[in-house]
Amino acid sequence: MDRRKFLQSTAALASVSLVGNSMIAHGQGALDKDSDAYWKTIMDQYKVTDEFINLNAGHWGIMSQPVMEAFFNHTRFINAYSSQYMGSGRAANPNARSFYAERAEILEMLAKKLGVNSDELVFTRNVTESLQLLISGYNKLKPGDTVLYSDAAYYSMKAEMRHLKVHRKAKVVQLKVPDPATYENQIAVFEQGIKDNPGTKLLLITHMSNHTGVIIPVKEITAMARSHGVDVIVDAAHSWGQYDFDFADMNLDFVGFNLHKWIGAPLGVGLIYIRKDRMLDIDTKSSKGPPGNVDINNRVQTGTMNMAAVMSVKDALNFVDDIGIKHIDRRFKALRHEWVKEFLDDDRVDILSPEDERMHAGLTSFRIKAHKDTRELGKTLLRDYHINTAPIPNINAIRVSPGLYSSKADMAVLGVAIKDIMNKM
Amino acid sequence: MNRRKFLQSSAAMATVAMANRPLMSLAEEIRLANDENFWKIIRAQYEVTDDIINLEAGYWGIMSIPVTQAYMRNVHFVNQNSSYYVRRKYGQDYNAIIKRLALKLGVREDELVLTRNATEALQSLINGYNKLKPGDSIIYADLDYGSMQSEMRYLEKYRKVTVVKINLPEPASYENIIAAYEQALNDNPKCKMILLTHVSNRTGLITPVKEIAAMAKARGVDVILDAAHSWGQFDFDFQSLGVDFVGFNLHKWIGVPLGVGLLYIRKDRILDIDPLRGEGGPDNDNVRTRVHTGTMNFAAVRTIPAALDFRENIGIKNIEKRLRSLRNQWVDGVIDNKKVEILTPQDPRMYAGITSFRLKGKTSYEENHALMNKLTDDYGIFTVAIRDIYNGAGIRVSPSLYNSREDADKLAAAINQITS
Repeated sequence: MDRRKFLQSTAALASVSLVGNSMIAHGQGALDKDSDAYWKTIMDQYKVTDEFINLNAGHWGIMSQPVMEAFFNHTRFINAYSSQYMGSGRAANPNARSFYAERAEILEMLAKKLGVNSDELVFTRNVTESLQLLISGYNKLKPGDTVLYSDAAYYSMKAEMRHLKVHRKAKVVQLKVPDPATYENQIAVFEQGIKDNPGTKLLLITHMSNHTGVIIPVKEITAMARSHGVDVIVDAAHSWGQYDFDFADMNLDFVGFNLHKWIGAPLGVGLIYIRKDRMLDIDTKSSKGPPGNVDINNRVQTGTMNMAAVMSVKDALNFVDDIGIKHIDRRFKALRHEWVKEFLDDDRVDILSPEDERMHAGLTSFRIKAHKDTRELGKTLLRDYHINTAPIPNINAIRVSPGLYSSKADMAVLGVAIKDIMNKM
Repeated sequence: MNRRKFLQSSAAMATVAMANRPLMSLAEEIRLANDENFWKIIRAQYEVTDDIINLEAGYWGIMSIPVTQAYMRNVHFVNQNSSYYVRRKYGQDYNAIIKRLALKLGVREDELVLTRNATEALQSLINGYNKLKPGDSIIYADLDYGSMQSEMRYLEKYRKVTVVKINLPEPASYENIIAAYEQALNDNPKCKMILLTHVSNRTGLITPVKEIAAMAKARGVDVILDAAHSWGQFDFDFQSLGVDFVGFNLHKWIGVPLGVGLLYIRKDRILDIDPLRGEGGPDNDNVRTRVHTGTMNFAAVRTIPAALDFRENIGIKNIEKRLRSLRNQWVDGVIDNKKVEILTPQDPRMYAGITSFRLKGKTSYEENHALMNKLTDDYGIFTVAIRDIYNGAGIRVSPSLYNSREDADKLAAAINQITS
């Protein structure tokens, strides 16, 4: 490719207005951001299959078209410039683009959004990697100490916690969270767990359960645990980007995030937060760096990763920030309400996240009490009603997670389908 | 870039990609003569910047245009079909890909699992190797990859073993490299495991893996092989190497999108590598539990067949021949220059495409970094300075399929001019 043309085309990539421009082109400026008309313009920016209604955004987030195009541009740029973009080129040519400089800018964006310092954040390839490193790296455990988690934790994080029995000679205890969930009982269960296990040093909590969609009072639980001398690792895989909360105000120490779920970045990007003054409590990965170092980058060793995906985080942030998390929060609650409202007074159905506004966002599971085969129910929804959901067999539930591309009509179809299935039973 | 422009430019790429087929069949005949014209056709399959001559393919492999196209189609496809695809069909696609890779390597399908790069594969092997007892020794060398050296050193703490680092001789020869490992084994009778690097990322040196692995095995010592740079760069019979634990990259010399590697464990040795987080029972010999990636880039995985197609269409023998000839083209141009040291020997068993050099006496990283910058600034040639070689830092030169003989000539001329 001709150099000048290439640089022209890649210059556009760096432009933060890429996403904003396409929005203005859709004439959104005048629209109320909580209106269906506005959301129609957002839905138009997603290319989804019309073979089925996708209500499994919980697996990972579909990229909007502008983000995907940005990802393609970054992929082509990095493919053409290759390792010259990885910093070495910069030494010779100060004007050359540098991955590390651009990554630092993106970390600043993320730090600003979270209200933390950028040296408290590091990229991973997903939340699983983030939490693997936090759980296995937490080095304050002595043999015989107790670690707690609940049955609402993600399965591979449960396994990571259980492995501490071998790795740190810890006593591992799983708590059962009450159902139905209330704001108070979600705090009480962990407090009781700590009281029942006086040797407790570490607690894993899940901000939003991937099984039910229940959001727990992370701030209160962490404060309570801290008052008992217990550290808390937070799995925020599903929360950030899905609902509006003040991260800095939560006052957390160790957190794993996904950026490819509710932020909408390409697959393969997650994030770790470690509060600066707690850095030494997480082991460096395979003794990276000199002893006693507090560089968060030494807590991760990904090897060469998909740099274009990291670069696209900026575009994904621009896309969701242009909408605004307040409006995304309201939209997801509205989409959830659209189908949940049909079953609030229906004894045949359990809705697994409470109506308490603090405890749900878009993702919510349900159970048809009389239906005992969730996998079959998931298949029926897909085959007969063309709705893709996620069966959660161990709690006999179906998880429903709309995305920014979902319409209220999609949710209404789900409501009708559930009723129809029950009527045929 | 606006959408229309983007689609235009990707349409242009698609045209090139479609042109690929007839050109390749035409090329089929030409390539038998190892004609420069054939490689011109191949070079046209790459969209690289002409800002600079890129002789730094060692970091990762640039995707050819057909592979980039396939990747973008796969990103579209996975994005659109989302978990519906992954939960229903991805497993079949994954298995078919593993089957194809197993066939290429001559191994069983249940001996392979995909990772996100060679680093992840080797982290799993080095950390997970559970035959070590406190007081045992393990050996690695100065030409191994930096973060793998760090993984090995970590075993001192994690497994309470003695970690021995050896420095490989320079100039290297087939015999003295084998002798260096033999000496290390003699000096460390408690050695239980060696890390070997098939092609050194620091100098390009090809290690006589087969001979060293056989020697180690005779003494009851296991070998973990870092094959990050070898597979796809030159032609070798994997099975004949006789190694049980291997980490590969697919995004370097196979040319798949960034973020895909491969882990091989011989079936009857799987229990010797811990499953991640102790998953499964004591008899769990499922190789896939030796890695836990969480959600990975499914589109990159789906693009593996396109990358294999592209490479197989050219043929590994031709690729090897081409990379060697590009290496020889610049090395021959400086071999008589007394001020230049070439860090791989002129023994064809010991190099492929990658080869490092240094200017005699210039052994510090800073001097080499300055030389790298000079090559970039004054000659428009991109290479990389390499630190931490025992005998001194150097400059690594890694040509690829998008390079021409003129690129190699320009490097040789630049080195000769700088030293004159």
